[in-house]
Amino acid sequence: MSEKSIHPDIEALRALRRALDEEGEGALLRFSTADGAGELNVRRGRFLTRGGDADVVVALGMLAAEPAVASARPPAEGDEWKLTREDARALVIRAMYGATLSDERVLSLSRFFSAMPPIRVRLAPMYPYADFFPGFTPYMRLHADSLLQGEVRLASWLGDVASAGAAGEKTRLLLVMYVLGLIQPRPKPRPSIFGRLMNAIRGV
Amino acid sequence: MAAEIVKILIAGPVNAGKSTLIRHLSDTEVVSTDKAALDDVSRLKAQTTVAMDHGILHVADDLELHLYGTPGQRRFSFMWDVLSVGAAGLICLVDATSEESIAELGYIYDYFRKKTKLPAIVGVTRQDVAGAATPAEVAERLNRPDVPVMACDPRRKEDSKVLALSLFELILKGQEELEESDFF
Ligand SMILES: Nc1nc2c(ncn2[C@@H]2O[C@H](COP(=O)(O)OP(=O)(O)OP(=O)(O)O)[C@@H](O)[C@H]2O)c(=O)[nH]1
Ligand SMILES: [Mg+2]
Repeated sequence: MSEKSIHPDIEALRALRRALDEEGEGALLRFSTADGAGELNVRRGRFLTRGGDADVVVALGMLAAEPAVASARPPAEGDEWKLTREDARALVIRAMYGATLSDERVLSLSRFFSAMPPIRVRLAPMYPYADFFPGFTPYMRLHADSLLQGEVRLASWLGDVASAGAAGEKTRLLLVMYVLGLIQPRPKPRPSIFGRLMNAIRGV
Repeated sequence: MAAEIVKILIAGPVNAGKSTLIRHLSDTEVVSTDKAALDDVSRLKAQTTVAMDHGILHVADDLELHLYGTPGQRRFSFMWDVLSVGAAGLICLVDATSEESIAELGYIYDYFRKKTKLPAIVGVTRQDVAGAATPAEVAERLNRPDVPVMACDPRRKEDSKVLALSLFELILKGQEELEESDFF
C-alpha cells in the first residue's frame, strides 16, 4: 500500500511528526490551505518562530483542519529563529486538539487511522498538560489497553462511538497523538526475556 | 537448569500500597514480614512491612519475575541497599492523600537513583479519596520531568499490571524493532 494512494492529505502531518522527533534533524515545512499559507520550522522537538507562539498555533491549526501541500526541507543555517516560549507538546495539544474540523476532515482522518494496522501507544510524561488537555484520560486509557492487550486496533476504538461529536473528539485526540509520536507501529514479536515477562504479567 | 531471575523493586513511603501491588503481580503466596506497627505508623495501620515483601511470578521453568517490596520507613533503609542489588527497574508508590508521603517520595527516589540509575516509574495511589493530590501535582513536587508519573490503585489488579507493564516498556525503550508500516 503506498501512502499516496490511501491518504494524500496526511502528508503534512507526517512531515510535522517526523520533524518533531527529538532525534530527527528537523525541517522547515511550508504549506498552503484555503486560509492562506503557513510555515513551521521545527528542530529537535522545538518550534522556531519569526513571530510568537500564536503564529505557531495558527499554523498548526491550519494543518489540523485541512490537507495541505507541504514542502519540507532540512533546516539551514539561516533558519535560526527564536524558540517558542511554550514547549512544543503544549502548542500541538492546544492547537490541534482545539481545532474545529469539518465533517469531511473528520471522516478522512478517521479513515486514515482506521486503516492503520494494530498499533501501540507510548507513555510520555503528559501530566504537565493534564489540566488543559481534555483527551488526557482517554489517552491514558488507550495506553493501558495497549499494554494489557499488547496492541490497540484503532478501527474498533473509533467505530465504538455514540455520536458524530464523539467521533470528532476521538479523531482530534488521535491527530494529536499521531503528531506527538504517541502512536507507533507494534514492536516485532521477539522471544526476549522482557517480552515474555510482559506476556506473563498480562496473564496474571 | 536454574531459572533466570529478573528482579523488580517496589519502593515508597509507609502505607503507599506496596504490599498490595506485589500481591496482585505474584502467582505465589507473598512472603511478608509485616509486624504490628509501632509509634507513628500505628496511627495509619496495624501492620507494616519491616524487612521486605517478596513475591514471585513464574513465567516458565527457565524464567521468574521476583518482586521485592522495600520497607517504607527510613530506619529500615539498610534493607534498601541489600534489595537493590541486581534489580532491573524500580516502581515508586506514593500515597497522594499524605503530605508526608509526597515529601518522602523525593528522598526515596533519589536514594535509589543515585546508587543505581535504574529505570523508574512513579505510581500515585489513593486517587479515589477526596482531597488527594493529582499525579500532575505529585510530578511537580518530585520535579524530575523525565520520570513517568501515573495514577494507580493497587487494590485493582488491572492498575497493578499497567504500572508494571509501563516499567517494562521503559526498560525496553528504544531496544525494540518496530514493524514496518507505511503509516508512520
Ligand atoms: N482507598 C485506597 N486504598 C488503598 C489504595 N492503595 C492502597 N490502599 C490501601 O492502603 C492500605 C495500605 O496498603 P499496603 O499495601 O499495606 O501499603 P505498604 O506500602 O505495603 O505499607 P508499609 O508496608 O507499611 O510501608 C491497604 O489497606 C490498601 O488496601 C488506593 O489507591 N486507594
Ligand atoms: Mg507493606
